[in-house]
Amino acid sequence: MSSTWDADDAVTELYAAHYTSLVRLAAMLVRNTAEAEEVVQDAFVAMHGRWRRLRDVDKGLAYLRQSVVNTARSRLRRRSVEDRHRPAPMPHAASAEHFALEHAEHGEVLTALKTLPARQREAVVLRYYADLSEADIAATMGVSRGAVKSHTSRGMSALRTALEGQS
Amino acid sequence: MNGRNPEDEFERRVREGLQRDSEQIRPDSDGLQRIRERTTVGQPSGGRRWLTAGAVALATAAAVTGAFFVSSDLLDQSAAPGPVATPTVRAETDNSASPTPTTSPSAPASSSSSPSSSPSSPAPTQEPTTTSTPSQSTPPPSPSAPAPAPATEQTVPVYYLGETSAGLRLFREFHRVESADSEAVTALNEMFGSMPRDPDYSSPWAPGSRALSVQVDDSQITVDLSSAVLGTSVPQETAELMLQQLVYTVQAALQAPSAPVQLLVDGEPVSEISGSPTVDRLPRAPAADVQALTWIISPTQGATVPGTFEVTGVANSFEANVGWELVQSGQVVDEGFATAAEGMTFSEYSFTVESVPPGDYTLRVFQTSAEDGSEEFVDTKDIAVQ
Repeated sequence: MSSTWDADDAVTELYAAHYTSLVRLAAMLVRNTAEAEEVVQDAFVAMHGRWRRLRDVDKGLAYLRQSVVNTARSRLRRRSVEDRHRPAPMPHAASAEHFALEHAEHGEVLTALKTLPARQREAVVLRYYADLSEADIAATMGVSRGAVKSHTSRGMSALRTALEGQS
Repeated sequence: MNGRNPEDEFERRVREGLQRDSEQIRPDSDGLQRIRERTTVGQPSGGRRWLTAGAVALATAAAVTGAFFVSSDLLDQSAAPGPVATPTVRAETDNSASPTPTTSPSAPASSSSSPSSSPSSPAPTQEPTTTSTPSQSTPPPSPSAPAPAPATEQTVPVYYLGETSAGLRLFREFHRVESADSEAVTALNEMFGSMPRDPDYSSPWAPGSRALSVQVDDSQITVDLSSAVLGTSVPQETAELMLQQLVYTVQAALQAPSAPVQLLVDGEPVSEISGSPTVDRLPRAPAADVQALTWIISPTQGATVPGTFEVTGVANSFEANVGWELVQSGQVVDEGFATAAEGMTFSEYSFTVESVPPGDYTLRVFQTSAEDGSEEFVDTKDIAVQ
C-alpha cells in the first residue's frame, strides 16, 4: 500500500506514527528538545525529497532514523567546537538550579546518558530506547555489527558507573 | 523475540529509565506544519491534496501516537473538497470517530516532483530554515565566529524581576527563539526586548537596550551593550537587581556561573548605569539574596497540559516545604504540599496534580512563613488543562 503514497502522504503518515518517538530519540542525542525537533524536521524534509527512491514505509522510517543520527552527530561536533570557547561549568554556585533543570527535563538515565561519547550513546539509545536489532543499529549508525557490540557494551558500563556511582 | 539473551537487571533499568525519561520530552504540536512549509515550496497544487490526505491520515493514525494534536488552521475545511475530520483531531477522544484504515488516498505519483533538495546519501546538510528576526540581527560577537551563522532555534534562559513578599526578586523563564546570534547574546536580547511569558514579571531596562556582543575568556565575561541602557532610570535597589538580572542571564546562557561580568557600553567602560556602579566587574550576588525562593519550572505560563500532570520547580525554603494550589475562577480546586530535595538551599521539588477536569486554571506555588504562616514567595502560572 505504501508504494502508492506520494511524498506528502509518506510525510503525513510517518509523522503521525513516529514523529514523537523520533524527537525523543533525537533529544537523547543532542542537547534539548528544540534542537531535537529541528533535527527530526530536517530528516522529514530530506525524506520527502527522496521518497520516489524509497517508496516504502519501512525504508522511509529507516532513512529517518539514519538521518536523525547523522544530523545529531554533526550538530554535536559543531557544538563542541563552540564549547571550547566557554569556561568549564562550575560544579557549585548555580549548579542547584542547573541540576534541577537538567533533572527536570531529562531524568536520571538521560542525564547520565549525556556523559557518554556520541557513538556509545547512539548505540545504547538505538538498542534500549528504539529497540532495534543489532543489524538495524549497524545500518543506522553506518558501522559494523562488531562495532555496535563494542560501543554498546562500553556505553553500558559507563552508564553503570554513572548511575550506580552517584547513589 | 529477537533472539537476544535475557536482559539483566541493569539493562532493564536503563530500558525502563529511558522510556520513562523520554516521556518528559514533548515536541511542539506544529512540527508537521513546519515540515510542510519546507516541502511544499513552489508546489501550489500539492498543498490542497495534501490537506485532504492529511486529515484522513491523521484521524486514523492518531491512535498510534497517543497524544497528538493538530491545530485547527492546519485542517482548513474550506480547502478540503471532501468531508474531513473535525477541525481538531485528538487522539484520546476521536478514536471511535475515525474511519477504519481506508487511508490510501489516490496519489498521482507522476506529477509534481519535489523541488526540495534531494541529498544523495542519508546525511542531510543543515540549511537555515528562516532568517533571524530584525531585532536579533546583531553582528557576530566573538572573533571565534567570523562568518555569520545560520539562524537556529535556541532555548535560552532569561531572568526577570518579579514582586515577592521580600521585595523584587529574580525569576527565570526559558524562551525559545530563532536567532543567528550566540546563546548569550540571544538570551540578553530576549531579556532586554521581549515580554516575559508570565505577566507578573518585568524587565526595567530602557527601551532600545541591546547586547552588542558577549565575549568569554578564562577570567571573565565581557558584555558590550548599546548606549540605550544609559537611559534606564530606576531606584537604586532596582538598579542593583537589574544588573544581577543581566549577570544571571548571561551566566546561565553560558553555563558559567562563576565568571564575573564586565560591562561595556559601545566598547567602553562606564561609571554607572541608573546609579549603580559598573566600572568594576560585577560578581554574581548570592542566589538567596536576589532570586525568588520558589518558582515553577514546568508547566510554563500559558501551557496546555493533560488532566494529570507533573509540576517541577526550584525552591529554597524553610524545612524544604512548598505549598501549592490549583485555582479556577477564584476557587481553590486542588491543593497540597511538596517537599524539595533539601531545605535552606536551592533544590528541586516536584509533585503530580491528578485528574483535573479540562479548563483554565492558575497554578500557585508558595512558601509558608515560619513566623506567622502567611504565604510568601508565590509564583503563579496560568495553564489550560485538556
